[in-house]
Amino acid sequence: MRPLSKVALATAFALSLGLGSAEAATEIEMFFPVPVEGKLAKEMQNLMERFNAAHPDIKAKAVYTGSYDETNLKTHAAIKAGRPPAAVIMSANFVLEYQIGDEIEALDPLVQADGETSDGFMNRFWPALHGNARFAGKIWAVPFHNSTPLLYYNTDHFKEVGLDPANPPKTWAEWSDAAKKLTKRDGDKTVRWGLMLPSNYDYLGWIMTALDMSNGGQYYNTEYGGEVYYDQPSMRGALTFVDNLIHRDKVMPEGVTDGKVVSTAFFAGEASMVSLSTGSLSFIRENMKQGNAVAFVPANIRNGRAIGGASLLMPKGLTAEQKKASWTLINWLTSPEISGHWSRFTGYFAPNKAAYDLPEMKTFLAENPDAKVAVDQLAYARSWFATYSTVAVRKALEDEVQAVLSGKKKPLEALKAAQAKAEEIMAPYVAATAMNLPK
Amino acid sequence: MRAPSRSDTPGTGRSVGPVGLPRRRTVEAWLLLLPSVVLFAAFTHMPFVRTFVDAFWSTPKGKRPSHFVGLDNWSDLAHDPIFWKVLVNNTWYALGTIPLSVGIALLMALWVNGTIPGRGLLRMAYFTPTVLPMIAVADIWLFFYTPDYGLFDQIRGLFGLAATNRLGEPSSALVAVMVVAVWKEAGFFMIFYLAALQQIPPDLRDAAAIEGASRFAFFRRVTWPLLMPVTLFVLVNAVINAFRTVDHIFMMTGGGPDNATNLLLFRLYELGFKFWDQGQASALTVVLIAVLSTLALVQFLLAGRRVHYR
Repeated sequence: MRPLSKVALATAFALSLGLGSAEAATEIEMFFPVPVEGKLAKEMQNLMERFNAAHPDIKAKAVYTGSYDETNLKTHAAIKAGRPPAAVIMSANFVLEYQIGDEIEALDPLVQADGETSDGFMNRFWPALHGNARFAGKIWAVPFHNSTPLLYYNTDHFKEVGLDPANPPKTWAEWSDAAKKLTKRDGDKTVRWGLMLPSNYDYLGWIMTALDMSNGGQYYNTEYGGEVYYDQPSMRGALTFVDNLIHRDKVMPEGVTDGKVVSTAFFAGEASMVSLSTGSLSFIRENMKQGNAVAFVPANIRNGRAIGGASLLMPKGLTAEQKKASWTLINWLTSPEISGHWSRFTGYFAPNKAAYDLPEMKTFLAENPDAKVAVDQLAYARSWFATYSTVAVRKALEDEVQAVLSGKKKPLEALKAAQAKAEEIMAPYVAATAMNLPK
Repeated sequence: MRAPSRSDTPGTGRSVGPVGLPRRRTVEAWLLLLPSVVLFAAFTHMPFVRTFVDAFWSTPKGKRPSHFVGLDNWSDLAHDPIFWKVLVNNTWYALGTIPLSVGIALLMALWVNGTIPGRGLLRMAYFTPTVLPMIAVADIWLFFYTPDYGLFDQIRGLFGLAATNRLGEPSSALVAVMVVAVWKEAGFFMIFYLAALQQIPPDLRDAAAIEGASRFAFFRRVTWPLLMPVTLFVLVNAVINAFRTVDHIFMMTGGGPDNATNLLLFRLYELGFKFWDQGQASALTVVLIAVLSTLALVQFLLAGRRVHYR
């Protein structure tokens, strides 16, 4: 054989191999963030290996893309560059903007192709998660892991001041009363704070949502991303409550306190009660030396708080095979078994209700009563803040609330300024949607 | 980063000019310049032109393309109180960090240039902050500033003073992040001053000693003028850093409380990559570049005249 034909033959052989393997397995990529700790990234790779072993026709690869914000950034960039990932684990409050931008697939056709109705599909998940996944008449995302804020308290401090650790505060009156009793002063100096709330950007918005919901409100329209209600009575009450705790009762430190500082102060016994995410459960369990327990965030008018966490979404621009493979992966990751496994591993709660019927999950909850409080809270949880230009609209509120926390502004003027700023940011969207009327 | 033009190559500025060169050598000169011209064009000049154009167009949202909006992005920026707040913040930040870090750098250099025991260790100690990544520095200082628990409050506690929340109060947060910047920068500038001090011939000092000049007079009349080229270089860098170094803002305050520590470049990131407002971010970029080039130009024109190159 002449050398040239040898080369040709080898090339043909290599080509057929390449084509063959492409036919055998659809290759897909999934972007995933790790908001908490590094060991989650390793566990995700383990899950991918299990998935690929169970699905020989798909070759899925999980690409670690940093924090929630960085993942959002990289997903936008990948879509813009015309090379979208097949699936993304996206912070649940960013899904709306992808829908507004027409960048993600509605999942209803895929659900119906499986012989399921859209209602039936959504009913697999806790009702609190529906708002950030199904809106504008369609399903846009599938909940993957979720959290809510919790009240963490130091049981040793409770006993010390004569409060019953088995009976944590349930109302705002009991809450502020407990905070007053727990605060310890030495002359002008406060040596222990009764209560601390995280107030850095992002965390602050979530905490304010929880307080507003506990006060009967909900300062955003879950059906339409062009409306917020920052200056309504429920918010005025919530912010005045916080302002009083700081400036009148002096049971909470003035100014902005980072979430990291809040957990450090709780570990050091310098704050008796703190409100942090359920995502901190295992972190607190491992680091807290004094006795501690968790409870619901206290209520003034009703029990309420917003969910946090992430959902799986599917960008537009995939081939039919990629879409099918991506849908298989999304369904597998949100199945009761995997959902429950991931929940026990991370501390997030499992979005799939059926996960809690599994025997291993029942055992886990019996052994970890704090994880059970997190699940019980779900009955009172609602959708997360999401609007057009979510981060900017949220920051409009956070800037003003921070001014109140620092004693620079009074609640009402701050909230009015926040409302005006938010409306200014949303104006282009409002003009193109709700105010876009027949001529 | 380029070292200041060295004073021991006099005349180089005069003889090299494309005007006086034969054609063949002009081609050679351009060929030699080509690699850096290509890099500069691809990664500096073209992106800038593109950004300038984008500043007149709306932000594309998803599948909706951008359209020409004229001066809208600019007037939005001008009407945004946060933009003005950020501009004022950055001015204070520059006015605070530049003279302090340069002054401390000069003092440290004079100190470790003398013959004192443990000189090597001292030099290393001064330079250490420069070697550390800014993110690590920010994390260390985050601990220093932690209310009650942090280093500063522990020390205050020894004297019975109340805890402070320096990063959490709008009145003190900007100063707190400025201190970190000065701590980080001073050691870096010290190295340049130290190198320049070592270049000053010892016979000048001997001559001054014979004349009976005081140490202060020697510094004012001899050392300081000889350090001018380095001072110009250090100043230009300090100004650029005052607008460029925002890594610690990410770690320590996120621009808060209520934008008290928000600086131009941080705001730019916020607008561009958190709010996805490409139009306004482009306009702000142009503002930032204009501010920086004006400052650099003024420095070279004003200070350059006074700089004494031997």
